[in-house]
Amino acid sequence: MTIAETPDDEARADPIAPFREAVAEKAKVTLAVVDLLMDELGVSEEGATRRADHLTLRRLVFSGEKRATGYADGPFTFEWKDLGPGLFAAFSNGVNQVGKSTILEVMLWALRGKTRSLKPEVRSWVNTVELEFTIGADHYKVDFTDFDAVPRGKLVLVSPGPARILKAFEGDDDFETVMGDLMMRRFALQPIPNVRHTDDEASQYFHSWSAYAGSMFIEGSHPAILGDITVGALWWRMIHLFVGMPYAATHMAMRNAVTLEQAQREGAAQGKSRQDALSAELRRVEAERKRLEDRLKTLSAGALKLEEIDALSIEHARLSREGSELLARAAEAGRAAVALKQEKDEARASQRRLDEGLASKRVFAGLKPVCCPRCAEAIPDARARTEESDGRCAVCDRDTLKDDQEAFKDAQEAAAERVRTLSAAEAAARKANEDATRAATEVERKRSAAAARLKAIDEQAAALRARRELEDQLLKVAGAIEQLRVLMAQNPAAQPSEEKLRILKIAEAIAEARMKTASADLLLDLETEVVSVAQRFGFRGLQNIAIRGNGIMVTVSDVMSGYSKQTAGQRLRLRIALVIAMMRMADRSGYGNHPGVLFIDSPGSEELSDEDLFAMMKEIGQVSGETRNLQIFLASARSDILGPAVSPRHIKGPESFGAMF
Amino acid sequence: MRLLFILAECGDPVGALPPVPDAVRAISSQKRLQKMDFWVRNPDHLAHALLDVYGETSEPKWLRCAQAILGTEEPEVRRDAMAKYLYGAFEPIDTGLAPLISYGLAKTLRHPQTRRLRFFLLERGDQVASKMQAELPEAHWYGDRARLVGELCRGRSGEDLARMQYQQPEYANAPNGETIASIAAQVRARLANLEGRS
Repeated sequence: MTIAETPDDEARADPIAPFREAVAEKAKVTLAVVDLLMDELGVSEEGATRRADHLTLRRLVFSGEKRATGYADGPFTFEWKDLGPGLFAAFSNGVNQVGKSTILEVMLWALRGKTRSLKPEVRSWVNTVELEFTIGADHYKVDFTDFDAVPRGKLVLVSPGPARILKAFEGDDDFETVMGDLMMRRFALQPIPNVRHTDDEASQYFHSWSAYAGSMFIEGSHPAILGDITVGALWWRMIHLFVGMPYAATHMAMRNAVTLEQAQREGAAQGKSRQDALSAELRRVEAERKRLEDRLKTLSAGALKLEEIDALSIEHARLSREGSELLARAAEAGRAAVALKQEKDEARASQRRLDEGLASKRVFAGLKPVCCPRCAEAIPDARARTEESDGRCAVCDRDTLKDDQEAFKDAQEAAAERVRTLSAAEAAARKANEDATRAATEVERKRSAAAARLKAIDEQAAALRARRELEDQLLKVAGAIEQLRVLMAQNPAAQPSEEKLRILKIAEAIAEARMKTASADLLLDLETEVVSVAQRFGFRGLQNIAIRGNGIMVTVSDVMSGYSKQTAGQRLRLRIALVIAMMRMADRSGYGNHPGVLFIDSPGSEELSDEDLFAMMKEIGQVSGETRNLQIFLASARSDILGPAVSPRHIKGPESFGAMF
Repeated sequence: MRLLFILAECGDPVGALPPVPDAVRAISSQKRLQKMDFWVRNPDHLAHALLDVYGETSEPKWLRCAQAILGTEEPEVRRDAMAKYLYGAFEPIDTGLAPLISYGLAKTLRHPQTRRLRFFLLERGDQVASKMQAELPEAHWYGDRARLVGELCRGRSGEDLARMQYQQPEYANAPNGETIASIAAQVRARLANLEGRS
């Protein structure tokens, strides 16, 4: 058994007894009894805290077709590649609704298999999503299609070794399970148990990867320091598991087992007629089985060609991309043609002016000037006579006989040549534009054909899905019937055992004591780290923060108050500081369970002044540069303020996309 | 050449006792001359004005003239852009006028009371204009165009003309000192709209 590695701590030099033995000894029962109970609860002996790996997004591609936006309908492909650790930003300049938040939402969706607040109409535009990410040395890719809000795709381990499909999934729940399994395993996170009280029933449920991943998204008001759920002190439990505090998971499991056991005893004590209730339930469930079996008969069996869907979605993404490129090329050529036409018109106008100039010169040359064109002073007769006799101009004294005929001819030829060249260039650009437009139309035709085929397959899949669902339900109903029969056979119902509750309570107390001892130093480390990071983010006057299960106390300028009493800007700083502090600790000690990814959507000026916002982002960029295990995505409409805080290579802005995609 | 034809075709006949000896035609203010010059130099803006007048009078000849301009590449090739100065298209006119004055074809004179600069076409100028019309193909267009502009401007003061030109946003909104933009596309669309309706 391993505890927190704090070699300087003399008190822990002696190894302490294994948890189960300690419980058995304290409860004065045999180890076998404890083993049985712990196995039933699925509590394993504490292992070593995990060596920290971090998650890094590498490349995101999604494509689809915008509909009914009123301004930018049509196919789109968005790609953000060459991602790595550090601060990345999706900017729109002062205009909202251009999809910067969508990019973050799609990332999170692909990471956890469940959307957060992606708007349904925006989701309906998205047809394919591909996200590549690494955890430690392993390179993964998740790609899926999403027609009629049914994700269908696969999780692939790209490297090391030959690429192989880890899991295929279909439907929201399936997708969430696949991503959850991978992430919970890779980050050694445990489901956080909780007890739900409905009517007089108490049951257990689990927060899992979705909740953990959700806590990586920072947006809007910040009710809790981690994640958005304040009930059940979820944030406190998540901190423990993210930091990897010894006995945190064990303690959590014990506390829940005790709560559940007590709640169930209360229910049983009410002494209602269980048998009556059970037989009524049995009749209901049997009727349900009959209904399901009838429905199943109406659905035919079939098989779904996963490879075909795969090939089609790849084809579809490729065609969307090609289409956008062709359209861009056509637009480019069109612009060139317009510019060339303007230039050609200008050249023709110059040519005309030159011709007119020469023509009028011929006429005017035959005339005699009577006064100076500048000052209107009459020209003396002597000058006029000189011009008549030797051809010297009466006004400027230049030799007019040797007229620059050659120069004029050259100029006329040059003008004509320029008009010819520009006309040819314009025609070429116009042709390029037409060719590209034609090609784009053709590609678009192929793309919509592929989309139509995908949709058709999708409909076929819907029928198949319905069948599978029915079969699942039937299995569950059969299980329920079996269970009900078993329960009815146990007569009377087994009384909850006093003994079990007693042992559980002892186990909880031991786990709590062990957790507290082992966690104290880690928590202190974390608190110190949070304070130092938050100060760097411009939390002025912050002296101390105490993170406890019953609340967070913040000391600012010698005044202590709760987390919720802080201003929005200070809460935002603390939230970001907490995650960064965890990653810095993990970087130093090599242990920890946080994936190290953060999404920050639209930190606004209602929270921080422009200068503070800029300073904080600059610090975040620096801190993430220091540890190299952090990846932060920022979405903001304030590129004017935040732009300079982010490395230009890490910015996606509407400059390159019109709308973001 | 352009100014010569504007004086010849748009100028008002002078009376029996002109203030300048030998003068045959006169334009009574610089503003008026400038506005006429603008229309000769910007066929697109002229076509716009023609459509305006057609809208007021319903006389088909104005529509025909506008159609003739917009149906060719005149707005592109015949455009000699002008800069806007404070309150309208304005280019120092002296430069263009200087050769005419030097050759004894035209003369300027300030009105003794109003101090307005007036522009006179001298008899010799009138002869040269006729000669150019007869001998130079390049001059035909200027003669015809100046005649059309003269017809359009008859009975309107320099102020009236300025007001007409200001109805066009590209004209009114052009920043001081910058070139007044081409409106060929808009005017063609306007014509197409008119034709489609009638």
